[in-house]
Amino acid sequence: MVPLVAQITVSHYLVVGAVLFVTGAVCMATKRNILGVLMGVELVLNGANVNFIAFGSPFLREHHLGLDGQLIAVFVIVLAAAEAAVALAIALNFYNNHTTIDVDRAEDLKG
Amino acid sequence: MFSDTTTVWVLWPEIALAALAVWIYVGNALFRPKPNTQTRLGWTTFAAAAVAFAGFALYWHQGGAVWRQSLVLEGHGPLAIDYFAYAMRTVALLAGFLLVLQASRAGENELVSEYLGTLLLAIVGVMLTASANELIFLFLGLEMLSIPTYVLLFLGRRDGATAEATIKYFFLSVASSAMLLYGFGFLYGMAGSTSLTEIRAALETSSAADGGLMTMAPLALILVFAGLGFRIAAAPFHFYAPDVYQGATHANASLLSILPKIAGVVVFVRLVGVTMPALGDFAWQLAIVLSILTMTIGNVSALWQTNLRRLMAYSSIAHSGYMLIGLAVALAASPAEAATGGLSSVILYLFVYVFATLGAFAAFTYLGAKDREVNRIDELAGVAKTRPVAAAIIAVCMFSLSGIPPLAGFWGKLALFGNAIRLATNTESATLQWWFIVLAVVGVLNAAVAAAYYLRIVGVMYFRTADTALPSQGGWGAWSAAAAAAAMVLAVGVLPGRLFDNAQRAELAVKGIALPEGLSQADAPTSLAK
Amino acid sequence: MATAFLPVFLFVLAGLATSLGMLSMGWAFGPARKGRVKEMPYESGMDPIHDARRRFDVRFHLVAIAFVLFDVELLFLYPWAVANRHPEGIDAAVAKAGALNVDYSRMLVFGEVMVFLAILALGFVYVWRKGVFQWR
Repeated sequence: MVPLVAQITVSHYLVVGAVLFVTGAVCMATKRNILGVLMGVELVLNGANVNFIAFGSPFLREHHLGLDGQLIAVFVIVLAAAEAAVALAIALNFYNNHTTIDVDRAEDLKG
Repeated sequence: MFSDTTTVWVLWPEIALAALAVWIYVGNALFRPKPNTQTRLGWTTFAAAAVAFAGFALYWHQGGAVWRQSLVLEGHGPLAIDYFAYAMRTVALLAGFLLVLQASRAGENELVSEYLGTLLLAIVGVMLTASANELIFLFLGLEMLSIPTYVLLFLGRRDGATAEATIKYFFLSVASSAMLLYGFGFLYGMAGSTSLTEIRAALETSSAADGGLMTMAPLALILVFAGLGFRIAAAPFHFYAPDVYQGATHANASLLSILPKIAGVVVFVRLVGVTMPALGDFAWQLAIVLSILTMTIGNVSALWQTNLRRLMAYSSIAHSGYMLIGLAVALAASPAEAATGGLSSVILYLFVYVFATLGAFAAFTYLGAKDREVNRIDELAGVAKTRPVAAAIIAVCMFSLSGIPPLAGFWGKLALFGNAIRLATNTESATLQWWFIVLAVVGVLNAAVAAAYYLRIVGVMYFRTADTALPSQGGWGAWSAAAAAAAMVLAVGVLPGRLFDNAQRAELAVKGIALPEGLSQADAPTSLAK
Repeated sequence: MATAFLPVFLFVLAGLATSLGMLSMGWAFGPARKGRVKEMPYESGMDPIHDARRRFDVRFHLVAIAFVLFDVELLFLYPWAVANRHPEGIDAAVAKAGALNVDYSRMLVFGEVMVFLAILALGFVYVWRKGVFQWR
């Protein structure tokens, strides 16, 4: 086995997942464009996906978990697509009312 | 591990309801491209009949055995087939039936099939969440509820407030779902299984002290609390609720305050209350802190609200805080297997909350009109003269929400506070005593504060006179939904024994304890509310 | 060795036949109109040369959303396709279920997939009846 590959363990994947999660969370918190926020959401979901697949890895524990983790990822991908579809409709609705998709302009409802 | 034919059979009510919902979409698109008022009436009747049919299907199919016994049918893969699941599915269907009635005149004629079909799908989402015993099924059930909710919020409404409310709700909801999913990832990684039963076993056999994967348990718990806290509008994830409710119609606000609450509480009970008590002190301390924060923020902020829906939003937040008391009791009680009353008081309170809130919102819907909602509390002035029955319904619901004795809300609060005090008096640990006495005291103080704003609404209705009458064009559907909910609140208030009994059976079932002999209607209230 | 590659050869042949067939059918039966607009490079009906910051018509979104949804839903067919003939796939699961005395068969799996496709088809009917594919 190539030593470079041999040293990559499940925890490395978890780190990738965590980085994706944090990047997505920061993106959601700081982006002002609706579509930018949506990209942050996708990053967080995919961070969770990477985690699921890594935890389902046959290298993590003795007994093999099968394909559960990967199937979960498929479900989440489809879910993310459905959410993106709704998000685009919501963004259009927002644009029609506010002529912008800057979320900071959503400030009429306060009190 | 297999989703075999039993799965299909058990989920028959959900499948039927989803199929009928799809038929509302497709059938309308095929045969009634230009809906008018008749079409609206027809589809509303169809949707109500579909929910009723799902209710009968739930009661009469194989699950009838579940009604009579506390626990049957183990190990059917992703499904939890117990009394708790059936009870919660029933609550979802009852609430759903009233929501369909309430929406009989809400929104545009052109979008009636979309509105009703989406509403039915949201109800299916709650029911699926209630029957899930598996992380992914649970997550998909929650999403099956959330995605229709986003659509319902902005369907056919073009004003700026709606657009803003939708976008706030959507992004916070999606963020919370993503956090929940991330937490589920850790649970899956720790237990090596998505089944809640196996996760519970894994958490019990190895503690965090063992090191390794189990050190992730508190992180998973925090992420799950974050994800579910949003659903039930618990602090610190409550801040969206007032804005979103204000920007929604009364019909949508009642949906938002009921369906996600049922789903969130169900998942809290099954995932946190039953699966994770092994996490130890951290879990119940988190629940107590969040509970105190949530109910105090909700009740204190509600005091100076003038917008009716904002007030109801803070009320919804406050009630989530009360429900977390029961969760804290369930998490702190030892041994975790015994019936401690914590979860049953949450279930009881949920029921009481759902119908009182639904009754109030349906009555508000009835008092308004499609283009002119009742927005401010002051607009309710003099309703007692012009619309005495609607005023009486609102008064009953408000008294129940504030917990005044002969009504349902009183029994809910009695069970919650009573269980917290019982835990404090029965335990040896000084820490537990201190925490739970403080919790109960804060809870009682909050209930007293809450009475102020609920009674203010009743006062405005009965002791003030108005210059102009409200339109009262919400339709008979909304009126009958309000009346049915108020009747339920009254009935539970007068005869709480049945509900106490059922809540206790649900707690035993969800914990997997066989029903003890001789648990009858008569002694259930005393044993719980002592 | 020659027979081992026969399926590949047939696959290539079938692919070629399909694509050539489609092209020639279009050429033979399609209406052939000529015009200035018709002879422009194709870019979804938009002017191919314009400023990069131009706004797209919102109707593209509808089609795009519908496409993304159907496209991603089809993702669920991949696990089924892989498990169908895999030694650890559906057959193994059915055998395991049989040992546990659980009612589970290849027919059930097939039925589930067909129900899934039927639901997708219903979604298509809804989108079609709502006029998403009409460029009004």
